[in-house]
Amino acid sequence: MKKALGLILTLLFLPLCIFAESSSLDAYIESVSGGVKGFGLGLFPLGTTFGFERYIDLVPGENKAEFQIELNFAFNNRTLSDDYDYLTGRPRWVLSHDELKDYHFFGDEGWNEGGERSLSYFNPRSEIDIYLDQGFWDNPLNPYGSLLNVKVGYNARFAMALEEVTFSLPDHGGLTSPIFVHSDGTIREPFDESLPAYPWLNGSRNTFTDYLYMVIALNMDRDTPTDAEAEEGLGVDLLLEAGPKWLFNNISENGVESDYFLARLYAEQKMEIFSIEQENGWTWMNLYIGHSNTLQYVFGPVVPENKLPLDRLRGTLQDRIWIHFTGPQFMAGDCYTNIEFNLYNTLAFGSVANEIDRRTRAVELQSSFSARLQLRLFGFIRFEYQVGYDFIRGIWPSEPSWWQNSALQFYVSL
Amino acid sequence: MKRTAFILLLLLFAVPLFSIGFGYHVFEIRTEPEFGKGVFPSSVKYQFNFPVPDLIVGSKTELAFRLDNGLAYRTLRQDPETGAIMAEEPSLYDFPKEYTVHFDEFNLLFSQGFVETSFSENDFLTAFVSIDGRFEMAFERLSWMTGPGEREGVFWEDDGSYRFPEDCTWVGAPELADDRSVFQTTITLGLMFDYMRDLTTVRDGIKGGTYWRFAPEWMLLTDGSASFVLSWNELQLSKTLYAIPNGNELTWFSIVLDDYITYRWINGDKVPAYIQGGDIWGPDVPNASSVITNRLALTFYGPQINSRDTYPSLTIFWDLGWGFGKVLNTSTERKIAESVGSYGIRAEFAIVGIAEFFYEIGCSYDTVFAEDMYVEQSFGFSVGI
Repeated sequence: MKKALGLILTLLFLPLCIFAESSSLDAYIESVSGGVKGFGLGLFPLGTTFGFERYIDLVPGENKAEFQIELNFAFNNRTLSDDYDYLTGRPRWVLSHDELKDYHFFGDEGWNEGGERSLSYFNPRSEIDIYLDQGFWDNPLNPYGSLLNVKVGYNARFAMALEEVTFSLPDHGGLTSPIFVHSDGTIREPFDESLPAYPWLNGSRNTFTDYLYMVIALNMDRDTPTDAEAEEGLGVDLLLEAGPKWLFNNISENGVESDYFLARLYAEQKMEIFSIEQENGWTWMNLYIGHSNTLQYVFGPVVPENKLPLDRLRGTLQDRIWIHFTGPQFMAGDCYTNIEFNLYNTLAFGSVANEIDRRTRAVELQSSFSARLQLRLFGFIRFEYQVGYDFIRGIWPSEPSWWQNSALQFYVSL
Repeated sequence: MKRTAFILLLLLFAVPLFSIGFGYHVFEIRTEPEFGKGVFPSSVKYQFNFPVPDLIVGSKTELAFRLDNGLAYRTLRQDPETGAIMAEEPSLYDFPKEYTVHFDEFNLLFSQGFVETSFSENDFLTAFVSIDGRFEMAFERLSWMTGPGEREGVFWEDDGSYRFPEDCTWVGAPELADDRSVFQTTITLGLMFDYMRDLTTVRDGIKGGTYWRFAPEWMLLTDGSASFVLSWNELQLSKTLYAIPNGNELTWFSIVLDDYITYRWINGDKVPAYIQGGDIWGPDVPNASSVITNRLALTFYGPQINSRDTYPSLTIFWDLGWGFGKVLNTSTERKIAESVGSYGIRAEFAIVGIAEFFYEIGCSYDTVFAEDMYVEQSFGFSVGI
C-alpha cells in the first residue's frame, strides 16, 4: 500500500516541481463540541483538517490553477449499523417480520453469545486529498473567478475499526466484552468471515480505499469575500468519481474494499431579495433565496463506507429551497449572524448498494424542513443551532418528528 | 472542572477582540507506523497568529494560539510501581511497552522581539511567555486485541489479567494513573536568539534559546497529575561548507555542517512523559534530572527544483546523549550518569515541504544499560513538515 500510494503521490506532485513557489494554507478544526465522553474532555478536537494550496500558471492567458493537498484525521467512536444483513446486504426494511429471522444483523439475538457487547467501536481514520483546479474564461459576476473550472483529483483514505479505547482501562472501562474478538483474542462471529455488506469490516478491519475524481463546474455567481454578503447567481457542477478495484482497492488481504463509480450533477440558483449596507461597506442585513437540484447515482459492486448513498439506494434526486437572512456585521468583518430556512425533498431510488444479488429495488421520498441559526465570531468560532421537522420518512415507518442539535466549532479558513 | 476549562478557553479566545484576520503556521505533521503504515497523518502542530501591532518599531510582536493534537505512540520506560528504569533489568520487563496516546495541547503565546536582523525572519532576541494546557488519554497500541497474537499489551497480560496491581502508585508514569487521562496546565517563560541565515539548503550562523516551564500542582484547572519545573536550553550552529548557487537564492548543490545541542533540567515529583525529552536516534537517554543530547550532522543537498522546499538530500549523523543526576519519577532516591550513542545515514526527497520519501539506516552502538547494540533501517513515504 505504501509503495502504491507513494507512486501515485509522486506522479501528482512532480508537476509542481516546475512551477513557481507560492503557497497559502487553508484549515479548520472540527468536533470541539462533539468530543467522546472522557476523550478530549468533550472540549478538544478529535478531528482536524488542514490543507496546503499553491497557485500555478498552467494555461497561458487564464487564471492560475490551484493545486491543493488536504489532509485530515479523526479519532472517535462509531456505531455499527443494524439495518442491513451482513452476509447478503439485504435491507431490514424490505423483510417481513417472519423473514427477519432468516437474516443476520449486528445486534440481533445471537449478538451477545460469548459475552455481552455493544455496537460501538473506535474508528481512527485519515484522508489525503490532492487536486488541481484550472479555471477558464471570466465569471461575468465575479472578477476574480472563472466561468468554467475543471478540477481533477485523487483521494486516499485509511480507516481502522478497533475495540473502544476504554476497553484497555482497568476493569475494561466497564465494557463487558470486546466487539470484534473474544477475550482470548480469537475473532468473534461474524467478523471471522467475509461481510459483503460491510467490506470495511472484513479481515483485519484496516481499510485502504482510494478514488480519482473530476469536477466540471460552470460558475456565474457573485463574489462574497466575507460570506456575509447576499449571494446571487447560478452554478452547475458535474462530478465523476472512480474508485475501481484495480486502483489499489484490492491490495490488502481483506479482499476488494472498493469497486464503484459515482456521477453527480448539481445545479443551483440564488437571487438577492434585498441588501442594506453600513457606511463602511459591511452588511446591515440582507436576504436571498436559493434553489438547487442534485442528481446522483452510484454504480459498482462494492461501495466503500464513505460513499454509501442515502439508505443505500443507488440513485438520489434532491430538491432544496432555502431562504438565507444575514444580520449585521459587528466589531469585525467576520462577526455576524445568519438564519437559514431549508426545505428538502429527496427521492432515493434504484437497487441497494452492497447487496450481493441486487434483488432489492425501491423508491422512497423523504421530506424535511430545517431552520439553522449561526453565530460567527472573528473568523474562527462558529456556534450553530438547528431545528428540523421530518414530515415524510420514506421507507422508515417512523412518525413525523421534530429534531434539534447544536454545535460549537473552532475553524479557520484563510 | 470541565465547565471551568471551557469558560477559560472561551475567555482566552475572546482576548483578541480587535483581530480581523489570522496568520497561520503548520509546524509539524507526524505519522505513526501502525496508523496507515506511516503514510497518513496522525497528529499536527499548528498556530494561529492574531494580528497585533508591533510594540517596538522594526521588531516583531506576536500573539498566537498554538495547538498540537492527534494520536501518537509512546514507550513505557520506567516501572509504574517503583520507577525503576526497565532497560536495566530487561528480563523482568519482558512485555510490549508501546502504547497509544491521544493528546491535545494548547499554548496561548505572547512574544516580543528585540533588535532586528537583516538576514533572518526572526529578531536577534525574542522573549516569550505562554499559558499552556494539555489533555492526554492513554490506551493500548492500535493493533492490540485485533487477533489471537495481539492479546498482550502494556496494561494487559497475555492471559487476560491486568498487568499492574489495583493499588499501583504509578510513580514511574504519573500520567497513567486512574483512568489514564490527564489535563495539566503550565506557564512557560523563554528567551530565544537567532543569528542565522537559513535558506534551507544553505545555513550559516548560530541560534538557540532557553525556556522554563512551571507546572505546580496548585495551577489553575490542572488535575494535579503533574508537578515539575523544567529548564530547556538548545543551541544550533550551522556552517555551509560548499555551495553551487542556482540564482533566486536556490542551489544546485550544497554541503552543510550542523551541530544541535540541548540541555534540559527537570525537578519535580510527577514528570509526565511528554516533557521528558532526551530524544536521539535509537537508544533512550535515561530519565534523569539532567539530560544532554547532541547531533552532529553533515548534509549533502541536491538541486532545489524551482522551489526552496523541493530537493533531495543525504545526511550523515552522529548522536550522543547523556543522562545524569537524580532519576525522575522514582520512589527511591537514586543518582545515575549514563551515556548513549548512535550514528546513521538518512536519504530523503522533500516535496514542496509537506511530503517526503526517505530511507534511513542507523546503528545504536552505545546503548543504555543492558541493551545490545543494534542496527535498524526504514524506508517509506510520509506527509510531514
